[in-house]
Amino acid sequence: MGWKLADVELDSRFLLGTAGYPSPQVLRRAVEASGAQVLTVSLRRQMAGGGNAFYDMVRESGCRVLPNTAGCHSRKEVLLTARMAREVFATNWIKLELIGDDYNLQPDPMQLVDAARDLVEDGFEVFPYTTDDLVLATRLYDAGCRVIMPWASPIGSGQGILNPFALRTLRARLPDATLIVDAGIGSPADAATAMQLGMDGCLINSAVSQAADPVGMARAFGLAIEAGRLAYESGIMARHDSAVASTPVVGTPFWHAS
Amino acid sequence: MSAPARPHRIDVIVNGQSARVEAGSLGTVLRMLGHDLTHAAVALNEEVVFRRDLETTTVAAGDRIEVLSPMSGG
Repeated sequence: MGWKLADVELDSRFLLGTAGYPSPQVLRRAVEASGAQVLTVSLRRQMAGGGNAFYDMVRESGCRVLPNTAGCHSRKEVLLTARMAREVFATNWIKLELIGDDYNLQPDPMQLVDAARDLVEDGFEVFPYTTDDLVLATRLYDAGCRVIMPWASPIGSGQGILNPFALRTLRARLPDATLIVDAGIGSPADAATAMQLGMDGCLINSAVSQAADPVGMARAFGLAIEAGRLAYESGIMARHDSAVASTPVVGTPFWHAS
Repeated sequence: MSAPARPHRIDVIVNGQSARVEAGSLGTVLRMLGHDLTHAAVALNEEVVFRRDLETTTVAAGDRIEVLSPMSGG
């Protein structure tokens, strides 16, 4: 079923990262297998004489691009990188990454909201990568970020959802925000769980690119994300502390009565 | 008869590396250094230079230029 990311209608709720694949050919096949319609990309220094094979592949995929500000540690760096990305990719979408700790690659909450505000004022549709902290996410939403991207766990760790309570809380307290889990997803089960918690989508990179078979894993994630969303929309049963018989008890044979 | 004017050469920093180039527009200088600007973004002294301004922006000695291209990312 279709949904809306910012102002764009999409079918897939799977956003795929493009880094770390064994080869460009595997990346291309993983993109196809994933069904993703949004790919994350970055900007790096151009080597004189280098080609554009990567970007040619991205454009041929027909996917939208979501450029990131990976590697930025200050508002100034973020704004410059975002403006350069807008020049190259001709989109006002930007995945805001402003790192505060190089060990955890945890975002810097002291600068993140101001950086988001800078970008919104400059005309960007800002997708901030953040922790699962409710207050920070709320401030980002108030700053004009319609899409919030909380982590499940640190980038590339594959630890899955460390705090499902926090994600559930974000869903409950920010009902109108688009919530995309970004970072830390390790397995399709993690992605399905995130979707069952009410997330609107998942952005996944390492769990696909580092799999033994990235193409197969891309498809597995696509199925899991779709299944998780369908489960959320279908209403998951309430948990009970004791068993509740599923077989009707009316008409039980007499030898079960004593 | 005067000798033909010698090209005016200047030292700049491109992507962190020193380069001695013939003074000219930003676009000309970068192409002479072998850069493909088809899908590139350029910053001059930490300010973005719009694509339409590459040929009218002049490079000066000591300028710091960044040329960025699309790369994979998460």
